[in-house]
Amino acid sequence: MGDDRTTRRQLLVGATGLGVGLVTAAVGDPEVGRQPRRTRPGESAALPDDDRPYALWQYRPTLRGNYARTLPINLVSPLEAANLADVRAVFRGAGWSAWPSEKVRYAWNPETAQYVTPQWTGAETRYGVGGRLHVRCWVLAGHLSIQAHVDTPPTPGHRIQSFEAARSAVEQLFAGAGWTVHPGRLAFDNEQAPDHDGSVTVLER
Amino acid sequence: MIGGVHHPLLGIRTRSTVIAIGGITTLIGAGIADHLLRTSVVSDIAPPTVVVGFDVLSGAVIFAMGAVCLLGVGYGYRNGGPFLAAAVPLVPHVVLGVLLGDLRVDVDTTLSVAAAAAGAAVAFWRVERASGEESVHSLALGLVVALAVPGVWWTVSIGTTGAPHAYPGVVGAVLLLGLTVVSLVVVLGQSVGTQ
Repeated sequence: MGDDRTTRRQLLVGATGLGVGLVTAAVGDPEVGRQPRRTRPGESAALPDDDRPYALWQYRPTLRGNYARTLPINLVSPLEAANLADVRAVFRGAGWSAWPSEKVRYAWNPETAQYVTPQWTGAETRYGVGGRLHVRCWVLAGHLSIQAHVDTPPTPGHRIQSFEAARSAVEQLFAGAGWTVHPGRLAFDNEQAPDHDGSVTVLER
Repeated sequence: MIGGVHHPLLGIRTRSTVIAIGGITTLIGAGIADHLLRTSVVSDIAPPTVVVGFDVLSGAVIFAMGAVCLLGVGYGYRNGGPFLAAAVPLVPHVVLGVLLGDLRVDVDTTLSVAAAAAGAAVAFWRVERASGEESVHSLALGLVVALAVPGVWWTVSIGTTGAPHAYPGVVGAVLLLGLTVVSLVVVLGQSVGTQ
């Protein structure tokens, strides 16, 4: 009898812990950097992106129907002699998962004046239980914008471990696939903790 | 129906066994729903509230896929059942990988195999204390070895050739395999001591 009660209590404690973890993982927004930048409801989050052929930021939807900045774009390509299928082939050739389990994020498309979901997303592993490299790719006005980051293991949700390590890994993947990685980076002024310096790498084939 | 799951290789208490099987099934269902919704429902014109709801599901699946690596060990410690303790982290990963055409040897697969080995080894110890049947002993030992060997092989492989950011996953796998070895040593030590 006493043993039954102890078992029941332990099951209850375990279930409570699991429930708290699930809710924290789900409600939290771990993809926001340590110093998140958010736009207030009604404020246009898209203005800085309008005067370039690339996206500057990745956005998340809010329950108020607005969009808030989350992570900075850190690699781009003019895609003059390539297309999205070529980009996808580089990641798939490295054994990445297409459309891994992830949250839905957007970029601002100035042509249609609309927030749009990625044309392709990929990650080293589908769930990133041990952490993972993770990218989202948008083709806007014929130009490629990539948001690349390294996720921590989910504790309880993924957090950003590094932008710089992800950028470096993606640069190596594309260089290995015969693309040109330009040594000079473009200044996008989209700095974000923990380690994004506001510049983007230009890839070209 | 429920009585059919009463076997020392699945678990000592039927109620806990049924809960574990239900949990595995639920996680697989949630993983399939997560994928189908992402590839069919979510679009540029989906209302933000729908997208936020989808993010909740996605975050829960990602968390649960990590949590089962520890829950398998917890299940084995509480309820024995080496096969089910191994299935808790392994079956969702393998079934979803096969169904979504995405089963590969990577950090996640290595972690789930290492967690399955650890869960089976801890459950083996628990079952040995409870029953000590010879048939259970041989099958449980075989299962632990069959899981630990690829677990060690892939951990070493990823640890020596993988990118620096794979480090947390490798450390997790090493800890789980360490638990596997310790549990096996204790069980086999007890077996020798009682002969």
